[in-house]
Order: sequence, then C-alpha cells, then structure tokens
Amino acid sequence: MSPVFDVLFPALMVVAPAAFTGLWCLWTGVGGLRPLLLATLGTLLAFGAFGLLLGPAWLARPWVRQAWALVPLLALLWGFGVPLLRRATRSLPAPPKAASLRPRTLALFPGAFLWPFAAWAALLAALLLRGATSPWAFLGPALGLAGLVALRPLLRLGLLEPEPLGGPDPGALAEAYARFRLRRTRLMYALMVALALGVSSPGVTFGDAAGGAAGAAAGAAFGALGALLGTWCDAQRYLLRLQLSGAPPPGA
Amino acid sequence: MLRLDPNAPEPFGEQLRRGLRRAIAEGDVARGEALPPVRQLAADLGVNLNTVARAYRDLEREGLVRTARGRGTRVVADRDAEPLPATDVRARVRDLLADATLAGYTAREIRRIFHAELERRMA
Repeated sequence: MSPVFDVLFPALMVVAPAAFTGLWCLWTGVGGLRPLLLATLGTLLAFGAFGLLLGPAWLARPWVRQAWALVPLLALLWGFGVPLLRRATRSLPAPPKAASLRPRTLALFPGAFLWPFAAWAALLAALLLRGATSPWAFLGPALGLAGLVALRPLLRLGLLEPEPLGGPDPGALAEAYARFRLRRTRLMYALMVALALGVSSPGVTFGDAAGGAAGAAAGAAFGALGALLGTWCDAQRYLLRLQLSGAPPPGA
Repeated sequence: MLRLDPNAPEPFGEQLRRGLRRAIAEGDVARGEALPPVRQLAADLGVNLNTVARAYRDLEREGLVRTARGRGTRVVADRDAEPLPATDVRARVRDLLADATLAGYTAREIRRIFHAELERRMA
C-alpha cells in the first residue's frame, strides 16, 4: 500500500464516528457533539505525533495501520457517539402501549426477489466461461448467493421494528412510519443486492493489483453507504419517537 | 388502533384479548383479514411474545380467528355471525351493571355511558 493510504485510511477511520454522529445530530437537531469533536481532534493529534516520531515505516506495518484504524474508531464510537444517541433517546418519554392492527408487507416491485438470482446465475456463467477452476474462485459467488438467499428474511426482520402509535395525531404518525419503512426497505434492498452481485462478479475473482485496489475502494464505499444508511435510520427513529411524544420537530 | 393501559388492574393479556375482540366486533379488522403477526404486535406494544400468542389462542378458542401455518391469523367471525342467545347477552349486561354499581357509578351515569357507546358504534 502507498504512504498516502497508510496515513489517509487510519485518519478517515478516526474521523468516521464524529462524521456520522455529526450527521445524526444535523438530521435530528440534537446537540452535545463537542466532547466527541474534542476527543477526535486529540486522537488525530496523537496519530500525527506517532507518525512524526516513528516515521512512515511504522505506519506501513499492517498491524500498526489496522490498530490505528480500529481502536480509536471503537473507542470514539462507544465512548462518545453511542452514549450521545442513548442519552437523547432516553430523554424522550416512554412510548405508549398502542399499535395499529394492520399487518405490514415488504411492498417491493414484482420479481424483486427473482431477478437478482437470474443476474447471479449470469455472473456465475461468465466466471465459468473465463475458465475458473480453483474452488477459491467460487468463494465470492458463494457469499453472494448466501446474501441473496438471506435477503428476504433479513428485510422481513425490519418489519418487526416497533411502531408504537400515539401522540397528538396517531394517523399522521402511522403514515410517517409507513413512509420510513418503505424507504428503509428499498435502500436496504438496493444495498444488499448490489453487494451480493458485486462480490459474485468475475472482475472480483480475476482482479489483478489494480482490480484489488478497486475492490478495496468498492468495499470501503459499501461500508460507508451501510453506515450512512444506519445513521439515517437511527435519525428517523429518533424523529418518529419525537413525533410520538408530541414534542415539536427540530427547528420548529 | 389497539391500546393497552399499564395502570389498569387487568393484565396486558386480558386487555389485549378484549381489545382484539372489540376491534373485530366493530369491524376494524373485517372477516378474512389478517391480524398482525405475533412478533410485530408484541414489538409494537412492548409486551412479551407469549402474551400476544395467548390472546390469539383465546380468540381462536372462541372461534373468532383461525391460525394457519404460513398464512398467519385471520378473522373468521364478524359482528353478524353466530349471534349469542339473548339470555346470554342479558346475563352479561346484568353482570356489567353489577360491576359498574359496585364501582360507584349511579344508574344515570351508566345509562349515559351506554348511550355514548351505542352512539359511537352506530356512527
């Protein structure tokens, strides 16, 4: 890996909790981000000092790079980001024990769970045509197939997310839940199908050095999109709980 | 909408059973329509899965719903089906009147509540 990657990758991972928690705060109107920002700044300064004192050779060592990428990420996320979200959610009144009697459905387009299997079969055929023989060549397609098989059960799990009704206008709240559920289902569907077909493509199996870098970039992009989707869902859940409590929305 | 009252003396299971019966009787869930899956209703109401499952079983014993594997729980009876014998209804009304009187309600107040509920049902 290049020296730029050795610096940029851990630095981005250090900044990630503040970036995503900041997005959550922006969407929900909740404050209290300062301790996380200060801790992130302190960690970045420590990383800079480490790099300057020990030199680029140390940063190039995989275990050093991974340690700087993962330890601060987890510490900042669980030490500052998650507690901020929990404090904000706990400050809302407990939801009433009231619910709609309408069953919920996935509401995707017809054939939504069929065409990805056809696309996967086409990718597998392309892989065989390119002359794949090693069992390792089929690891990606196997993981992709497992993802496609798990797609419907995983999306159905999302339907079981609690949707307690109440507040000043339960009808409007039920509509807001339905809108959120539909968007979340569609976004998760798109992400999971793209990921399953992406890892099944022959380009991943036969990738050379450049292909490997592109694969790493695509993996990072999927991770970032997943985190973005999770953050957006958490923000929407908070806003729905706010609507349930009857409190005015942020900025009102 | 189904609502449970955490401060009511009745346990959640009983409140749930009564609430579901009322929803079926008032046509909120029509004959042939499905009730929400046990897990969904338990998550929404914040109660144990077994509480909802027991309420569904009680309704099935009463002949109001039927559970089929893979098809969920569907309403099989409605307000027009299999009316109770008039003597049963009278006995239930007498029991209800006794309960309300013992709870301190006057005859005038009980009549007002009855009228309000009947008006709401017929609206």
